[in-house]
This record gives sequence, structure tokens and C-alpha cells, in this order.
Amino acid sequence: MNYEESKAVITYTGEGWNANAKSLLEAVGADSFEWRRPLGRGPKHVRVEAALFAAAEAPSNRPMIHTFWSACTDVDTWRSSEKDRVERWIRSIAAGVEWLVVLAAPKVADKARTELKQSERCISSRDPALLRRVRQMLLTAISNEEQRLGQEVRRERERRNEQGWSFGEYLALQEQLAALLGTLKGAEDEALVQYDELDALFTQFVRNASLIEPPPWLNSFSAPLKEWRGLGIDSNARFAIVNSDASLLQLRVYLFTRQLNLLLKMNQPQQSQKRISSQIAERCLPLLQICSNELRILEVDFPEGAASCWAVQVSLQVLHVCRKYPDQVHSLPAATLCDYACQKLFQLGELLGLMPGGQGPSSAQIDAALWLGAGLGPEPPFGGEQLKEALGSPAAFQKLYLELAELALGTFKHLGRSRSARQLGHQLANFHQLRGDPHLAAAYLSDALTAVEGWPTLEIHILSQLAECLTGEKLAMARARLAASLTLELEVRKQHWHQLLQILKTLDDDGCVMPLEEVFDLVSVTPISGHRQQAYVNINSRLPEAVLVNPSLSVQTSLPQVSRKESNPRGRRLRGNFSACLSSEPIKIQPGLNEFILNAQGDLHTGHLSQLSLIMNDKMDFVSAEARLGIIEVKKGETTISVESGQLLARMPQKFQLRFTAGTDGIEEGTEVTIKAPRGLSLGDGGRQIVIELPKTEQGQDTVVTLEAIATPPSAKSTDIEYGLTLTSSLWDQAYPVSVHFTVPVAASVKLHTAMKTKFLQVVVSSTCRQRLMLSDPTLELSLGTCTPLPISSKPLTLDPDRPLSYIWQLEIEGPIRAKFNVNLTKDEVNGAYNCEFELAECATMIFVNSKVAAASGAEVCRANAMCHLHLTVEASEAIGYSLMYELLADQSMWAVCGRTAGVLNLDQPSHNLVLEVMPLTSGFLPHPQVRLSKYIPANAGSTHPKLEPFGPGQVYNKSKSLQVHVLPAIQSS
Amino acid sequence: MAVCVAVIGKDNAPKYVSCLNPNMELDFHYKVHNALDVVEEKMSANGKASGDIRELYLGLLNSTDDHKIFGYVTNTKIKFVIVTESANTSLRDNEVRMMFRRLHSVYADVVCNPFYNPSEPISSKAFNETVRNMMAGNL
Repeated sequence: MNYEESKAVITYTGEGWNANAKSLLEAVGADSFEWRRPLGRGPKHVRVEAALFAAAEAPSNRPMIHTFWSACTDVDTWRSSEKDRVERWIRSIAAGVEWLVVLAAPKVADKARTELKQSERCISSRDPALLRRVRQMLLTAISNEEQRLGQEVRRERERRNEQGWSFGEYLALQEQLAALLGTLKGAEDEALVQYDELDALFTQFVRNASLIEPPPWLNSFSAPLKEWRGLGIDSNARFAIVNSDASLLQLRVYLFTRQLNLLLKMNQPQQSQKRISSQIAERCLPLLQICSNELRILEVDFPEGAASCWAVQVSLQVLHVCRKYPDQVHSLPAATLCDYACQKLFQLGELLGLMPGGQGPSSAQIDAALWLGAGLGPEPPFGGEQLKEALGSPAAFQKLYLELAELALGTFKHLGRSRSARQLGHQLANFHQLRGDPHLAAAYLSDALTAVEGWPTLEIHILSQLAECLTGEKLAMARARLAASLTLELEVRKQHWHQLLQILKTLDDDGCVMPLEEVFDLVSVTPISGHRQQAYVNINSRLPEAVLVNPSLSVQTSLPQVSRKESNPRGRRLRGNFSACLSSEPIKIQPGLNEFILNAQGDLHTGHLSQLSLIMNDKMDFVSAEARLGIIEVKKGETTISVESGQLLARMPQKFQLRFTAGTDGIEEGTEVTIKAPRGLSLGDGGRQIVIELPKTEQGQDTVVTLEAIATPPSAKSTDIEYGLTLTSSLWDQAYPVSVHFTVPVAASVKLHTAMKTKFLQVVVSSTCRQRLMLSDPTLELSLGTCTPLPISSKPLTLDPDRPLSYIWQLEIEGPIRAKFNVNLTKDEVNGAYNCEFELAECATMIFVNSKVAAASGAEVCRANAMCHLHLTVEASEAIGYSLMYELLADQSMWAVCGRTAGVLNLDQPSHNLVLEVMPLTSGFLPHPQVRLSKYIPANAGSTHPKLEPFGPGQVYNKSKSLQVHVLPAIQSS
Repeated sequence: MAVCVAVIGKDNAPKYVSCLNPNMELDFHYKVHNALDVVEEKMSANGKASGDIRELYLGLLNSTDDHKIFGYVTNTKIKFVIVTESANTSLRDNEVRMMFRRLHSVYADVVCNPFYNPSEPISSKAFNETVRNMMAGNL
């Protein structure tokens, strides 16, 4: 069915029909107008074209309107005869069909409208609304037909699982609907929907066929393929489809051709060109893939290569169509399709012996090619003759293949699909290699190699292919990489390794430079600075066998340009400046971890370790990237000294060591060193200077000298004292300072105790050095008076760090004196002495104080909240020439002082008795209120205010110190 | 169900590739690698689209006569790729999504392992087990 056959029909009758009327009606399709549709579908702007037929010749079964053209121009004739004729004509028209009476004169038209009571259907031929009226009626007719067909299609579709339903018949029905919609210019998408529905329905049926028992009509599509024509409308094919006698490819091609035609029709407005032409290519690839799948599901039999042949043919045709839109040849769908066609063509080429480099096709292959070519049908309607040609000759085939591949490759690159492009390039490389062009192949493969960086499996695969295309140093590098690829089998790696060794023999003397990390992992470089510069290098070899290399490590004295980026990390690596370097004899590097030491050759300056180079067989140089691997320093070393000692104690002979570490020049036998000690430190036999002789010492070796010294710090105030020793010798240009620390071992403090008039002195000795010491023979020397040690054991006592020791003497002294305390110290059988001096102020007892608290007013006991008396007695041991001030200092939470709290006593008599009033605030054993006595110096000419002066320690003896008073609870008043 | 499952790192290098049929491994490596083009394209398209809720599932990336390749990308730019057979017409889009979600959660478990270094290939038993189940069709 074509669209001409499904155009709407306008029939004409009557004498008024003439050429004018004909040309008038032919203009119906010239203008579009709005088509409002039922069922909530949006309005569309469409143009309607119609075919004109005389009433008698009109085809049936088409959307149709009838027109009657009257030639009558005056009202009388109308009334007498014409009206009857028109009425008769109207009655002859079937119900539901649109009709229109066209009258020659407007006044007759007016008359007809009133008399026939059909104001809408009578119109003057001169009325400008005529065309609009005709269009509207045509559209109504088409709408009615569309609804009728639509219902029928839906009904049939519901029946699709019933027995006897046939896809062919259903297709014929839905095509009618599609054809009807196709007559409306601007509603092609609606027609396309019909074909898409058919497509989807069929796809679903085939899909289900793999799961459930397929309906009988589907069996015809499983028939073996006899031909595999490309796109094009073939009336035989349609007939076969409707009669369930078509092959799968016939149906697919038919549906796709229809869709393609509709898409091309829709392609009229310029702005949508892009969308539609890319839609064509986009629809094509799924079609090809679905077909390939469906052939499998339906188990269709076909000669080998036929499906590929068909797929290439269809692709070529679609690409040919796309080519009409120049910018669209380079769309992604077109490129993808092109790529797909390439794959299929490649398969065909291999099948038919058309690939380059072979013997050419065998006779069986030529037969097969002829057979496949014949299956493509007579002449393809959309172009694409190239395939037939290509099947016939290897040259044409190769030309077609390259054309397609390069088109796809270019488009992929242009669109940023780098991986797709490179994968295609990879295939092209295979092709070029077959063609005997390894250079081009290598170029494509190298490109493909960069795309798969990080994918070891793919890298190795491409690299092994690349190795086949390379020669010389590039081949050597490729072999080295392959030999170092841990993903490969060991045997394969060994093969590559042996090939590498062979290649190296053929290389010229320049050899090649290769990035080190392709083969070795540089684990660490540890510079060892000093007089002899060395570096430990730790590398991991991935080679399958041991290799003898000449190692060297360059030293950059100027700052290397580390920031310089290598534009191509896989590319050639440059060997930097190795004029200053660390190196060694050739070493054997085993597979796996290796450590070796590189030594400086000749004089070096301080610099950065920069590049490691391993030269193998004098030809292949593995060079690491330039980097700062570490700093190597040159030191002109002097002999150094360190002090080694434990804690050194002052005031005792102590030993410590001086460790001489020989510098770069070593130490000569008998080198004299003079050691000077500062004041307070005596060396050896007691002098402050000694001379020692050193033995011969090699560079870096040590000599230890032990010294004995006694430190006598001037005062005991600080416990830690630093002494600076000064060493002078020919070893150094200047004096060499060394410091030694001493700790004072003990500290002593004194306390004075008084009992009435008797005085005692306690010396407390504590350890300050956290070490256990033995103390013996304590003595106390007084400047005046005598002292008697209280009898304690004369044996040496042990002084522990946390337990001070005390010595006590009874003193018989007058006035202020100075005392000197001496004690011998012993530590680990080394003896020393400790002494310290202190001064004692006037301390003879002058005043005795006695206080007593007693209940007041005859009560027997003290009670809380009851007044008590404090009896205070002050006695002077001898007459003193000044007054005394007393103050009562009572704890306010326990005592309330009720009367006087202070007063002045004039000690002109030896004893004073005072009674003061105090009140205990709580019950219990309360400490006595304190009484403080001070010297009272009344105001006189010297000062306007009286002055108080405290007594020295021991001058006032409080007899009742620390006495307590028993206070009973207050009596509860009843 | 799945015939190949791959996890690809931020740098587009593979962290894990497993195939049902070991003989096809090279082929699948190429397919998965090739699909990264589409992943990148879709990621940049997603990036441009407004809306902060990002769809992680990228849908169908590529299809060939025999296979369909689906993609998924996490917020940290880790890509998951699942290859299924085209002949398996009963596989629904939702099932593919489920597989990806499952894969994502097992991957998260792998990354949570304090002994796993994210720059290393995945060699987790639990992850392997899940992938094997996916390929066996026991989702």
C-alpha cells in the first residue's frame, strides 16, 4: 500500500464542475491548519492532500467527501428544477459521509441555505471560506476513519494470543492506519508510532519464543534464509509478510525501511534535520543487534557470513543516507554504526580470504563470496553497491574496510571517545600488519598502548603485538618490558628475556636508554655522608633471570630541576649528567630484592643524589627519573671528644672517661693533650692541669681516657655544678672545650631546741644525689663555748635518699656564735668529706611564761559559754631594762577574749601575775590561748610611735606551750 | 546474570575484574575498558545537570551482538561495570540496579577494612563471594 492509494478522496458531480473548480480544489493541500483530536491527544498542524474523482469513478474504502457543483445562477431556475436535483443527490449519499453543495451565484447560495436548511453545507463557489470548509470536512472524514481503524487495531491486538491470529494480517491492518496518518502532512510521527508498535510487538513475540511455546505464525520466520537483501520496499516481501511466508530479515528490513522513509519525510523542516538523521543511525544499530539475537533465538539457518553480510549492507545503506547531511556523518551513532560495520566486515574478510597478506581467496571462498553476493538481491536501492564489489575483490574489500574504519576512528577522536578510537586503531594495526606495513601498525599500537595505561592485562596484550612490529632499540625496550611483566607466565617472560639478549647483540654501540621503573622498582636510596661518601641502593628486579649491570648514581651539585615534567613518561628518558657519580664494580642483580653499595669515585662535593643508571651488556641503560633521592655531604672531620660518666659527686674523688673519636686524619701515636681544669676542680693528684698521651687511632676509631677529679664547690647553695675543661693539642687549631657536671651529694640544715635554760643543736643531713652514702665521724666546731654530742652510736650511718639523718649536740654557749659541721662521706669505698658553716644568734633564755586557764567565780570546772580566768605569769631570769608587751592570740572559733587582749608590763620586778577573762566557745580539750611577748620601746624623741621588737629564738621559754584545757559542755538551762 | 563484574578506580585503572569464563578475560577487559568512554561522558553530563541528588546508576553503556554493559559510579568516582549476555532477555533493568547496589555495599565493606589500602586491588573473600553469587544468578 502506498500513500497515493490512501489519500482522501473528493468526488464531484454537476454541471458546475470545470477547470476552475478543479484548480480550486487542488489548492486544498497548500495550507496547514489545526487538527483537534479526541482522547486527550494534543492538537497538531497538518496539511491534507486529496485526490479528485468523478462521482462514478471514486474508489471505495477511502476517507471521502462528496461535492455537487451547480451551474445555476438565477433564483427562478433554482426554484423550478435545480433544487429537486440537489435534494435527490443529497438523498443518494450514505449516512455519516460528508457532503457539500457548491453554487455558482451567491444569491442562489443564500436561497439554497434557507430552503435546504443546511447552512453549513451550501456555499457559493466565490465564497473565500470554501477551501476552509472543504479542508474541515476532509479532516472530519479522516478523523472518523482513523478512529474506526484505531479501534480495529486495538481489538486485533487484544486477540494476539488467540489461536489463528496472524502477525501478517495484523500488520496489514495497522499499516492501513499508518498509511492514513501518512496522508496528513505533519503527522508522520503518528505514522511512525504505528511502525514502532509493530516492531515492539514482534520483538516481544520473539523474546517470549525463548521462554514459551511460540505461536504457529512465528514458525515461518524460522525458515532458512535464502536471501539477505538490504533496505528497500519490495512488494513481494510485503505480500509474503502478510501471508506469513516471509523470512525474519524480510520483515525486519520492511519495517525498518518504512520507519526510515517516515523519518526522512519528517526531515523537512531544517531545524530538526540533525535530530532525525542521527535518529536514523541510532535506530539502525539496535536493529542489527536485535536481528543477530533473533536469528539465534529462532534458530534460523543461513549460510555462514550471510548475517554479517546483511548487517554490513544495511549499515552501508544507512551511512549512505546519513551522508546527505554532511555534519551528521560525524555523529556518534553514525560512528558507532561504522565501527560495528567494520567488525562485521573484518569477520567477512577472514571468512572469505579477503584480508591482506594471505594467499587470496580459495575457490571455495570465491564460491561462498558469490553466493553471499547473490543473496544481497539485484540492485540495492539506497546505494551500498560497494559491498558486492568488495566481496568480489580483495582490493575493493580492503579499500572499503579502511574507509569505514578511518571514518569511525576520526569521528571517535573528534567526539572525545579516545578509548573507542584507540581500540579501533588496535584492529587497524592488525590489518596493517597483515598488509605488511609494520610501521603504521606500530604507530596505531603505540597509540592504543597509551589508552590502556593502568590495565596490566591489556598493556601486555598490546605490547606483545607491538613487539612483533618493532625493530632495533624499540624492540629491545618492548622485550624488556615484557620480560619484566609479572602478569605473564615465567616461561613466556624468559623467552622475551632471551630474545632481548639476542637483540642487544645486534644493536649498535649507542645502545638505548630506558626508564628504570619499567623493569626495576627503586625501593630506597640511603646516602651515607662522611669522609667516604657511599649510598645504599635497594632495588627490586622484575626480570626473570639474574643480570650483570654496571651501576652508577649521579650527584647533582647544582640544584636539579625537579619540577621539569616529563611530557611522556613512556617515552625516551634522557641520561642526565653523570660526571659526578657514585659507582661500583659490575654487580649481579638477582630477580627480587637486591641491595648494593655505591662508592664515590674521586673527590666529590656536597650534592643531591639524582639518577640511578644500570647499564646492561654495555648497550641497554636503565635510567631512573631525575629526582632528589637524598643529600650526600662531604665532611672534613676533626677528632671529637665526648664525656662518658655516670652521676659525678662533688667533694669525693670521681672517675670519668673522655672518648676521643678520631677525625679524618686519625691520631698519631703519642699525641699530647693538655687538660686544664677550672677553679674548684682538681685533676689527678690534685693539680689543675695534666697532660695525657694518646695512642695511635685510625679514622673513625675511638680512644678512651679515664680521668680522676675532685670537685670542691665554693658554696653549698646549688646542687648541680658545671665545670668546663679546656683541652689543647695539635689535633685542634683552638682549645677544645668539654664540660663535666658534678652533683653535691648531701645538704645539711640546723635547728635550735630549748629546755628551760638548756640549748640543743640538731643537724639534719639529707641526700641530694639520689644515692646511698655512708656517713661517719660527725663533728661540730664552735667559735665560742663548748658542745657535747648526745650519745649515739659512733658507727657509720647509712644515708638513704629519702631518709635524712640527724645529729644532736648540747650547747654551752654565750652570745652569738659560728658553728662548723663536718662529716665524712663514703661511697663505694671512696671517701670524701662534707662540711658546712652556720651562724647562731643570741639565744640564752631570758623570760619564762606560764599561763593557766581556770574556771571563774569558784566553779570547779570550765564549761563552754561560761567565763573563765586566764592566769598569766611572766618571769624574767634576770633584770632587763625594758618593758614588755603581751598579746593574747586566741583562736576565735574556740575562745572569746572578754576583757583586755593586750597590755604592757614593766619588768622592774622579777615576776608579774595577770588575770585575763576568756570564754571557751565549745567543749572538749581546747588548746590554751597563745600569749605573744615582744620588747616594748615607748615613743621618745627618736620616734613618735612606740615600737615593738620580737625576741630571738629561744629567748622566751613558754612553760605551758601546747597545754590543753578540759572544757565541759554548757549547762542546759531548764 | 552477570558474566563479568569489574571495579575501576578513580584513576580509571582496574581494581577488580572477574569473569565467569576465564578464557574470555582479555575480551572482557577490552569491553570494560572501552565502556569507560561512555562512563566519562555520562559523568560529565550528570555533573552539568542541576540537582544534588545524583543518580549513581548510569544505565546501559554499550551493547554488542553478544553482551550488554552497564555502569554505576559512586560519589568517590569508583566505577562499577557489569556485563550481561544479550541473549538473556529476561533480565530487567531493576535487577541490574539491584546488583549494583549490592556491589556498592560490599565494596563499602571492603573499604571499611582498616587493613585495606584503597590504592590496591581488591582481594577480599567476601567481595569475591558476592561477585560469584551474582554471576551464578543468586542475587
